[in-house]
Amino acid sequence: MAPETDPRIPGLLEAARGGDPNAVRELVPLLYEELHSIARAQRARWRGDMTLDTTAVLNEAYVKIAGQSSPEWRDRAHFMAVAATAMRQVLIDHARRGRAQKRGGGMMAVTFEDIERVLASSDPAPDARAGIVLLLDDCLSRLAARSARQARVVECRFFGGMTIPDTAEALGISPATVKRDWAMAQAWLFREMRAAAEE
Amino acid sequence: MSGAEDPGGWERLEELFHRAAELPPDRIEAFLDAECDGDAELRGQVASLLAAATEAGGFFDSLSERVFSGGEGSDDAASALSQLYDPLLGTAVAQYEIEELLGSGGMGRVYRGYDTVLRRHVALKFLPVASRFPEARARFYVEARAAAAIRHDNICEIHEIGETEEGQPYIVMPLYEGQTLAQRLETGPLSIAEALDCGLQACAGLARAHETGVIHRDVKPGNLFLTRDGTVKVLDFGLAKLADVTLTVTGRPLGTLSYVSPEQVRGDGVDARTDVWSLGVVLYEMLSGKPPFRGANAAAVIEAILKQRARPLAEVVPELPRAVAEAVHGALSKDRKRRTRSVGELGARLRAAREG
Repeated sequence: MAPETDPRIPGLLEAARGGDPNAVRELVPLLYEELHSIARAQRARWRGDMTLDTTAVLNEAYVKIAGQSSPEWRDRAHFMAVAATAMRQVLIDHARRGRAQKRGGGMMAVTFEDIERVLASSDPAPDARAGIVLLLDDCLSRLAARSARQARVVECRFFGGMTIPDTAEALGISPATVKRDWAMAQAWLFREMRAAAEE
Repeated sequence: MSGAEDPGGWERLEELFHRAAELPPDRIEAFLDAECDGDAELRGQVASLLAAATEAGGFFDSLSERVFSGGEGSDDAASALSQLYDPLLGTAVAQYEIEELLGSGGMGRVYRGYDTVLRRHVALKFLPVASRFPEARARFYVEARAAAAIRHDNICEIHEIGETEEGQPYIVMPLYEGQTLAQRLETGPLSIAEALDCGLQACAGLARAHETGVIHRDVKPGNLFLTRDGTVKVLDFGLAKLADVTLTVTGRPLGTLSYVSPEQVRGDGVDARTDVWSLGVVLYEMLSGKPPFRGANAAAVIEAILKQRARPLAEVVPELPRAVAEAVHGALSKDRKRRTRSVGELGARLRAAREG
């Protein structure tokens, strides 16, 4: 039997939707627990060491939390945006653990070839995939220092698998802004990731 | 830290990036010269972002495909959940109203749709995100056209191929009633007569496809549909070629790796004998309940496909006529040169075994 969700979550979601930044900060670790336990239960579905049906995990968490919340709280796009941040954390931790086990804890650099392989739509080595995700996380943190909004858009679009309209609704910005932010953030991140990759 | 990298500079960088991105390429140089006015650092920043932008979208699409993928193993929970929130449901694509998600897997999602022009139900398959890459898409169309031209009772007909407004390709097919062989196998092995009947029908469909030069490449229980009237329909011709882009051998969900041929594992060229092998694996599983090459992880399955001898079917299913077991093992020779040469020959051996 799945444990109940943390009773603080619905109230915090309500507050977060009202624009309370502290609520978001408190939510992420709570959602992290939730998402992590669902991801763990789904481990059989993880592909290799780094693949996860994120959308399924997020949906399952939403169904669980929305089902147990007060009827006023039913805002899926908003939930997804907050959960995307937590999901990023789940994936990053997973990638770190995977690397720690495989490489004796050492952080292996992503090579230029790994980036090229992804670009050519082929699979990099399974543990290179984890390295790329860690590199993305690192670059995304640097992007957040320059444009917090662009970083949020990336979290929603990439880690949350959200559509442009959903992202716009959840972040309270226009779809046109999401599109522009997404285009520039991808260009910036790609440039930085490629520059950080080793020849 | 350069001017373009501090917060005020970032807004300027953003503005120039978006304005330049809308210009025709031959006007960008002059635009940057005029706007950056000797600020070489800012100019360099915008130019390098514009250069990165041409590949960045494809890179992140591909990365997301590689990191997060439903895979075929996630069918149940994922499709049940996404059905609740699927943005396609209840919408119309061309003349088709999207009514219900029937299933999802590595090769996309299948919906029941209603054709409002011809007033009939159809199945619509939407292909995964990676198929939006131009090259993969072009390849898919070539294959899909070839597949659409094959007419055979044992091959799923293709009504139409289209693209959504967002450029996502989809295939319109008849809506068959019944279940896939994969679903059927969940309840246990087939009787010998049922397995032979299903195998023979699949052979007939594949033989026709091979005559027209189309190789399936991904014969597996999930791609064999058993209609309620007992006809076997081979599904998803042409998609496997697309899969070379979205799912490499190592990226496949474990459950579908079992049907991959040794030459596919090695990355050697594929010909019609690959379909012979995969059908042999399917026959083995129909008769015994389990595919011959298994393992706890991908590496073990691959090792088994390349090196392990399949346990003799006669040991697993003692009541099986010897000629049937021999026909199945003939399809499972790791060396292509020694394998049963064609699905036609495999069919002939199965038929002889049934009648003998």
